[in-house]
Amino acid sequence: MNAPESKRAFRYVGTRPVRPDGVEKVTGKAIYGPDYQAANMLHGAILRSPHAHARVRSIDTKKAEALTGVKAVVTGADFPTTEHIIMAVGESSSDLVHLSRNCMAQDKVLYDGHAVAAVAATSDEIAREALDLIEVDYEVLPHVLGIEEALADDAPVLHDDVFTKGVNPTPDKPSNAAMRVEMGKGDPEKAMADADVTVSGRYTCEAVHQGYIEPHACVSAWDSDGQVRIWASSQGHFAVRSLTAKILLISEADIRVTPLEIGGGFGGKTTIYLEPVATLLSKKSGRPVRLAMSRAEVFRASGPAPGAVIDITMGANKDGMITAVDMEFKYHAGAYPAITAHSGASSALSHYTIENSRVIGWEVLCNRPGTKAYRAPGAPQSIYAVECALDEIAEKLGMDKIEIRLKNAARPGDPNIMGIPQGEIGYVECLEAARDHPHWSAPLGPNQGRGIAGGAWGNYGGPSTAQVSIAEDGTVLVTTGSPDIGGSRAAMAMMAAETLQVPYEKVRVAIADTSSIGYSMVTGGSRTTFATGLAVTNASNEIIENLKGRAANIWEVNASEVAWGEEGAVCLAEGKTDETMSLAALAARTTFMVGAIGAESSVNPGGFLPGVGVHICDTEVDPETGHAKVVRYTAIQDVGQPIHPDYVEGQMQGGAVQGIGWALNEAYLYNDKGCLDNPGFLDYRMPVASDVPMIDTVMVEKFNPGHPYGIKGVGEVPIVPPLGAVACSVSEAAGVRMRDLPLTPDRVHEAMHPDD
Amino acid sequence: MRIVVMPPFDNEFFGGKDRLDLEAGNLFGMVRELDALSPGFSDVAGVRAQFAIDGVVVPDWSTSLAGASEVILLPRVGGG
Repeated sequence: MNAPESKRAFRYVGTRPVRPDGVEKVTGKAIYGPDYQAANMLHGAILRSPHAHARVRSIDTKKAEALTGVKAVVTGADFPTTEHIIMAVGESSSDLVHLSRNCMAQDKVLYDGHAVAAVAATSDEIAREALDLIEVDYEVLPHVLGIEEALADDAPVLHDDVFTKGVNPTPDKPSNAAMRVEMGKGDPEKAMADADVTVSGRYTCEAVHQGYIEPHACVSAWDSDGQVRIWASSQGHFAVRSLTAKILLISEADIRVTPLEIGGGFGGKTTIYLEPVATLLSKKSGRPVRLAMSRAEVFRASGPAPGAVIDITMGANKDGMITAVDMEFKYHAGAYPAITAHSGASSALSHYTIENSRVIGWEVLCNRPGTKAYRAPGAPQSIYAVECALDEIAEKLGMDKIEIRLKNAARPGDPNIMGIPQGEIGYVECLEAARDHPHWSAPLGPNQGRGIAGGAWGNYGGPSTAQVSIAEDGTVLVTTGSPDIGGSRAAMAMMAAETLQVPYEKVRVAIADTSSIGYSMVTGGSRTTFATGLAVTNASNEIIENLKGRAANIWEVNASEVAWGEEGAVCLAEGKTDETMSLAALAARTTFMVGAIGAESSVNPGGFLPGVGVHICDTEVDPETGHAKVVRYTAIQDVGQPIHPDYVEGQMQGGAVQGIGWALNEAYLYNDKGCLDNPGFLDYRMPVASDVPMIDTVMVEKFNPGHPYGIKGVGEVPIVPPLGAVACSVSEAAGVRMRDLPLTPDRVHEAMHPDD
Repeated sequence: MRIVVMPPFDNEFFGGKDRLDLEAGNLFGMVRELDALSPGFSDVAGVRAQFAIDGVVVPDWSTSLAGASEVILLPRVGGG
């Protein structure tokens, strides 16, 4: 670990207090989605398609309904007809019809695992027995899984109402190419022709799952008054509310969603799969219904990050200045249009200043689950190709791989590819920290290689609401609408304690249900500590003004003559400067002053800044087996002001390990029928603790002037550099450039021994 | 003032034009102007679009455009 002390004079911000949710979680008492039980609850189960692509001719549920213990059966026919309106899904968006049909197929199934019917019964066993009694008549259709195959002229087209967006004129023929974006600047063709050196290559990576430990789960109760209560773990219970309401055509005020503890999300829980289904089962049965995915269902039916095919050509002059980049990438969208092409294109070159570029991105439909966010969605794939190409340019020029990055690095204020200045980014500082880190100069052993790669993500603000209130004994209650997926309760408590100048231990944080606090966008995009933290800070400052006013009234002075400090209210009025009044003393007067002490703040802030990072990876390759093992890894990141450094380091380490898995092991294995052959952690090989060394972290603390505590989002960037860092490291160790992820032993062995 | 239209909106809504010249009092007015050019744009703007005024992303669409020289229309990007 490398954790420099905070450079700013904060009392709590930048320290490492005990996390408030820790005890409940490590003792197994915390209530996650699959744990929740409501009184008189039924158990639900979902029948899923065994086909990758098929038309549903009919569904006969009579035998299932007749089974003793079965209380309700739901199919697509029970879902209301919705319009093709675009709905916000987290910070992104989706077509409402697609969202609804992803929860329950109506006319066609589009991937192995697509839901076609659901049952609620008095036990889980009966519910699953009933699934076997549902008869679905399928007309099996040709399927397509690969990106290039899906774009072929004779490929089966998934939707007859999807026409390629982003091309002019809009095509009149439906296509699996859901979206095309092109952006750039300068004259890349001329600059490429004038370059002293160029490199070209095709890079590929597979779709990968976020791998959250907790499966999707919820309990829904359709009450007799027509109101709905849902308990679910998600990255945003307001999103659960709005999406469920729109799909089922009921008002948002009639749905109350209570957030439960969440066992990982990483972007994959910014949408819904189960809630409308459970709600309809509850409406039919008159009892609360729980639905929980099995691990296999999670893999078969929830959204991974897209796989990609990326073609890139990069040119540079002999001094190492990158003069041109021309790249085209194609991403899996899965069964429904996604929104990652733009983020892939806008992120690809954002950490470098390159005068001539063209970046073209495509989203391609295929018979796989619809893709979803996975930390920095769209960025790891495109930046993987950029970083590897940069590595190749450095090798051609004989340049140090950090020096070439420093030469081309984006500096504060440099515009990104869209022309927007990037503000106080610390990419140069990250590269300098990498250059100065002992890892970079450490000797390598036999069969070892070292890779380095950078990465960036734009981050976000977004709406958040927070309430702060003072209990009658002077302790502090912070309430937000932001699920805690990465330590936000600790961060909120620390910012409230810092602002109010009270001990951290005196602050408690709760996450309110959707009927108890104003709207907050999902916890995602690394926005919550920034935006919700600002709301907490604003509300805390409002409380200080309130308390100063109360103290002034008690002392019979003007409020302007009262200051606030660690001791509470401090009187500045002449003749009364010895007077102080603690927060507890002021709170004790609640019942005989103007009532409760509380404040609410709603924000939708700008001022967010991109995150940037640099990772160094050492791998060792076994020449006999081709097995590549990470033997040393260092993650360096501009984290702004870390509120709780343990959590920040945890994000850096977690993202790095997830990226290592993407680079070395993970892939969906589909058989020739388009069905997933590895829907479990035994065969879908995510890294475990024994697979990786301790991930060393270096936090570069470049304060964000757009936030009172200098916060930058930290959770997205860590998954961006690993693909390039690992690939370059293995390429060096193997002595051959490896461009297709994952770098499984068979691939590495074949590359090392092409004549075997 | 100059409106820079980022993809895919340029091709999807404005016939491939990535530069427009429009006047509006604030971003709500700008969306109305853009919708007049491409009916239906305002239906998706609220969930798909964001704006930068003179290089600064501005979440509040009631922000005045008085004195602004350039507005960039770009997609909202969802994080993970």
